[in-house]
Amino acid sequence: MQPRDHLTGKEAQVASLVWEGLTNREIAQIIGTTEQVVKNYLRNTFDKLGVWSRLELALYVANHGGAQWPAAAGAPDSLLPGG
Amino acid sequence: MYSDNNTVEIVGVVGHVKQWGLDLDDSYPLRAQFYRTCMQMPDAFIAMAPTGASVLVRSAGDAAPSVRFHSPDQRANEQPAGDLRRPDNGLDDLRLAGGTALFHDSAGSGRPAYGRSPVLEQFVPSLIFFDTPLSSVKFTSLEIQRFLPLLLGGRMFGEARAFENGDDGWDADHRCNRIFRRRKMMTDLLDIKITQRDEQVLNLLVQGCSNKEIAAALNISPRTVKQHLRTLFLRAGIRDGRKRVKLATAMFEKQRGQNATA
Repeated sequence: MQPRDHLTGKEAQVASLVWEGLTNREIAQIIGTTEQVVKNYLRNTFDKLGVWSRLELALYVANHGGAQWPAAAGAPDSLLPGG
Repeated sequence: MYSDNNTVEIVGVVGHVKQWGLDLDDSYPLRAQFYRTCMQMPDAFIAMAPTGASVLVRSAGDAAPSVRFHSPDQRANEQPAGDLRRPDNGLDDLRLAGGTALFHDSAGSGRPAYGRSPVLEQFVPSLIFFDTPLSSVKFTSLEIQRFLPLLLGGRMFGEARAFENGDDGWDADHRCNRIFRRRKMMTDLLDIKITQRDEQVLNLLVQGCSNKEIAAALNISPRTVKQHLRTLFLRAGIRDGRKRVKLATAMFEKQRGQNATA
């Protein structure tokens, strides 16, 4: 089991957005929470992956598939008319 | 949610960003998908025209693509977003309900139903592609490389704006930049000027070093490191967000690409 398998869906989503180079504020807007919540996600993610900065996190994501990470996780159902 | 047979492949985007109507800020999942499509499909072509037309989408599987959009008219009337539907009248491509239809009639009426844009054609002669069924259209990365800088250079927007009656278009440009910047960054980084010192800094950055660590390793001051990075941001056209992250991931991709070819 890799370290990234310990991430929850939201944590993986946030990690992927960090990889895209977004700021905490932008990430918060995207997933519809506050900046502080994003920071909490990031803190947990850092701990789980054993990285110390968002740059290291971004490089971890880049090293483990990058674009395949689920940035769209948790999309509201209303965006999918007709399923 | 985005299972394989439900993903949306954006084949092309036509229409000034402001008009293409994908409300990118409101529908993040689509934006994410869009990003990824841009980055993963070297054959996709993205274009913008001053006509009011919109997005060409092809779903990967049989399922209808799940995209919502606001057509410019609908937005003006503050009506709810329309859906993209697969037309059942013998048209082989999808068209947008609402905005200018952009599809090819495979039933053979011989009358393509789309708005032509003289301006666009002037810049991109190859856009005649709309005369052929979209499923047969392939674009090379070379064409994209040739066209995107034009688009990003604002020339296209300048032209496009002449067709607009409304706002100044800044917001639209800004949004568009956000989408394309990453792509542009990747291509730009392949040929930006990188001095020897820059390269040393970058190598450390890609290993995840902080400015302080880089400074210590190269025996220079953190302010010098910052200055190196600043010039690199400028050359690579990275303007906001977490710039060092963007630079580092882009360099990472670049190095990996070089290792792959080497």
